[in-house]
Amino acid sequence: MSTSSRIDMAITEPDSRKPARYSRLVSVLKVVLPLVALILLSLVFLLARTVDPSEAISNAEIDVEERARDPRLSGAHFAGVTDDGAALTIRAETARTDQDATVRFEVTGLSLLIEGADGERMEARAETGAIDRGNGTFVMRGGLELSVTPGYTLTTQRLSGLLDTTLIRAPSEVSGTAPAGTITAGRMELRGETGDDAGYVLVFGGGVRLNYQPEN
Amino acid sequence: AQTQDGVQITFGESLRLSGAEIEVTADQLSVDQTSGSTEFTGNVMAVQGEMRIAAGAIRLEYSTGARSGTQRISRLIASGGVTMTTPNEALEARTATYVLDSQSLEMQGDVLLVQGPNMLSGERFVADLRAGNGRMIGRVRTVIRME
Repeated sequence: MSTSSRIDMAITEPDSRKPARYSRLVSVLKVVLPLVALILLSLVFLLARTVDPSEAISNAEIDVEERARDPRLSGAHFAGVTDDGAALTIRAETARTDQDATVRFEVTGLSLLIEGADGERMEARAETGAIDRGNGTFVMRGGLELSVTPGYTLTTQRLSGLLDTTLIRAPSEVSGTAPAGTITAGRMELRGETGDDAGYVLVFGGGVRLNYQPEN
Repeated sequence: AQTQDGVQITFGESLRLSGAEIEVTADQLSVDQTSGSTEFTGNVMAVQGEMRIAAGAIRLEYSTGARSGTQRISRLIASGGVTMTTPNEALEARTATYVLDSQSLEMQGDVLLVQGPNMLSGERFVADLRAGNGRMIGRVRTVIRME
């Protein structure tokens, strides 16, 4: 048995000078490396940011209950053709259904465009309004700006009209510029004309005044 | 050409109208969006300087303005009984056409002119307000009252 153990020693130590340094290096590393690992691990927990679970997510500002209570759609878009052939489109930034009438929308930031077949146009912008699909009417409130062919740019307080036929009415004072000169009137109405030349007529009523400075 | 008969008179020479602002007031103004025709109805009054034109209806006719895209009023066509008054004369007729640029006024249909004490009537009255003269044409009758 002794001859085999001498052979083993010879194999494991072929060169008598190097093994002592190598094994001392290994024994030193055996101690140092685990220590370094231990320090690193503890540092990770020591320097980590404290997380406060009770604080809510920072960017949820909107009032969640209010949002849940009334559903609101943004970028509402209503388009239709009136029975005298005018294309009517109403765009609103936000539209909220009315609690008691589901076919009625309270809208804000709305713009209306109605276009006849031969290029007649009325464009209106208002801050707030309502579209009532039930009885087919719409109303626009707030500082309204209108531009109506041929060449009228007007402001008024309120505009209301029907969705299925061309009848748009400004019941209160209207003022602005006409194709030539400036105009003010007590009220204004845009309607489709019946009869053969079915065009569209814009009627200013309630006392009209036009001031014109001739170019010479 | 047919000579212009009729009576030539001085008319409205005190009116310095060129460039004076025009104000048209009425009960109603209707604008046909398709054809663009613009008509004032319901005790219509057009005032320019010292001249006043009252009529049952006044239709505006536009022409293109100096700046592109702008429009200017070229003619006022009054109908439904027209009365034109200036500080010292008055003119009545069934219809009238007032051209702004040339300041020419033409009245038609049973025209009656009252100028101070004397009166003149006829079928048609053509006046050049800038030059300050007018001409009554067609079955002219005149009444001159001698005090």
